[in-house]
Amino acid sequence: MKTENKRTVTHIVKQLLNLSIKEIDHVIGNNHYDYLMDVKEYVELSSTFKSDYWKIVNRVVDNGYVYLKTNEVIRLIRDKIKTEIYKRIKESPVPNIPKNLQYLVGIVKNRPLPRAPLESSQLTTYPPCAMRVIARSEANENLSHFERFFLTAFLLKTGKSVEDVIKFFSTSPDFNEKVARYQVEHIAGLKGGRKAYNVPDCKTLFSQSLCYKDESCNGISHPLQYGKRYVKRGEKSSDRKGHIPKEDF
Amino acid sequence: MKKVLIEKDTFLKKTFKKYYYGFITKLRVPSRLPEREIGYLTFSPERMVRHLALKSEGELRALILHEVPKALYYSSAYYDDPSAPINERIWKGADLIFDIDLDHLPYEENLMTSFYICPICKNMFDNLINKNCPNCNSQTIEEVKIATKKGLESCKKEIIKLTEILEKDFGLLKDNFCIYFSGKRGYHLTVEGSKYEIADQPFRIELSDYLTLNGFKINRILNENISIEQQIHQFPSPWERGWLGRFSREYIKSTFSDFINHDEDSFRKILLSILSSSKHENLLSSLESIKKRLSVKIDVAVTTDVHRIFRMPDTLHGGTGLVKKKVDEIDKFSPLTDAVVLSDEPTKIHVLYSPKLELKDTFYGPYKNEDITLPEYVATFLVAMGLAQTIENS
Repeated sequence: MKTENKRTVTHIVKQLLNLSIKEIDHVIGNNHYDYLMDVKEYVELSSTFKSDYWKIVNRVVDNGYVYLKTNEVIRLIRDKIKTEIYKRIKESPVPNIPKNLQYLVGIVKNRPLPRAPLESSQLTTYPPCAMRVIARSEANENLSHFERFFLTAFLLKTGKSVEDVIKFFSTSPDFNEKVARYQVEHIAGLKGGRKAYNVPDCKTLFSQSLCYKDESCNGISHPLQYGKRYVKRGEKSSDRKGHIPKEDF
Repeated sequence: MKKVLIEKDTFLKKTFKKYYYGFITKLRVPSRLPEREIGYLTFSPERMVRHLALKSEGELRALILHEVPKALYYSSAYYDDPSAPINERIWKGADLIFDIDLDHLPYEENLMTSFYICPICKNMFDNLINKNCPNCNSQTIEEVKIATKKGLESCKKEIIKLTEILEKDFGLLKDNFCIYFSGKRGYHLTVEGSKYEIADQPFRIELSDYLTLNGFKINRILNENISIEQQIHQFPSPWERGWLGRFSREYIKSTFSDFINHDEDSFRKILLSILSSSKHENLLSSLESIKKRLSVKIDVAVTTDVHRIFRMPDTLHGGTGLVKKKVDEIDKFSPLTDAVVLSDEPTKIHVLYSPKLELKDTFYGPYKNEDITLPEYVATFLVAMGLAQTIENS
């Protein structure tokens, strides 16, 4: 299975992305390396990663090549594959829609997007930061403005409706439905600037002392990645620990 | 007979002109000259001229003889049209360039002789309390730094470290390296025609960080959070590639220099005894000092600048009168002899101050406030440094 995977990765990197890569089988200390990648190509691919882990000074570099493990190669090419797929979709010709069906295009275009599937908003898949605010709210504790904002934006983005969110806050000690509705609708982008607010990222939550990250976060940088990864990749949490240390993403 | 002191630039320009007239046919012109930007610094009034494009070697030689520049520069980058405004020209690539300067080496005694000289009251001081001249309170007081032989030897060691890493880790060929003495306080290394020629700035930043060990994680070698057995297993072998092997070899050298039994098992055994008997903090601090020793002290700003103009080889340094000299064999190269190209014609100067210095295997000085006749290259060195003025009798 492992060889199979390696072959697939090699094929994708070489054929699809046109990068030079060599298969190897080399152990250094506690690390087993599977690939050599040209150092220039490596730097291009890793340039968007912020962690020092990916700097070439922290890699084994020899004769113009960087030593890599399979999972590191996969991480490196992920974004490039995404770009490649988008490019191919964009380049592929769009067939003409028959005249008698064109009126449907307008209807479909203007229809609101379906809400995100509810699996991802099962309470068990929420990140610890959200769970903590929810618990505080359920214990009828008074939430700060920022906590309310975070929770509202988070619940809306994970598929809850405005009504659901208002209902959720209805138990809080100073609940005022008019004010709550205005604020929730504002955050949802239905009022004011008509722009839905984004959920604050982990860094912001951390600086607001609202980050309660634990192992299950697995180095995500945004609370919404937590739910998505969990559901979309359908992996067991033990798989996700992988071989790349947590700090590396 | 009246003694007249000649202006610094008047004398230097005359000396430079004489040199260039005699040497011009032997001047080695940089490769791909028409694709490079050329710039130069004029003698008084000092002015920087940039964005020149020269079509031929003849044009370069004519420029030198006509302008007699105080300093002449060429870009490491190649452009479609080097004279076009910087945003409009197409960047086609750039040589890899490295600058090892004494200013970037960690402090050690006797690498440089440094003192202060006041151009107004002509007094010399070893130290300053503030930025003003202690005698006349002038704010134009200047620091003078003269590289010593020992200092330039230390720069050489950095060049040797640099070439070893570029060759082994980055697969560059020694034949593509050109090493130069900069003409003042260090060495330059340029790599032409490598696969990194088209590398952009982010790559050059990564390369610089690699060489200077900026961001290097010591826990790749020693990690407190794992068991001793794992630590011993993790510790890189001295035969390993890249930085890991270098750290290991340096660690062996500094910790158990009697290690002669070159095999993996005995190495791990010794490690076991060291790791289980030493404090983690001590091990860590010895690895930190190894990191300082191993890192290559390049000027990062030079390597990461893809539009830099760099001193042209075979041209004179306006601050010393020495030439930027190509180094064929670094071990045998003697900068304070090999880069002396001016004549030894007796030249009369008035020296404000000069420490003892060595040029062409001869010691001169120290001098203080005295008239003396010295070979032209020594006189030029002192005048260019702002320590002396030439005397003419009228």
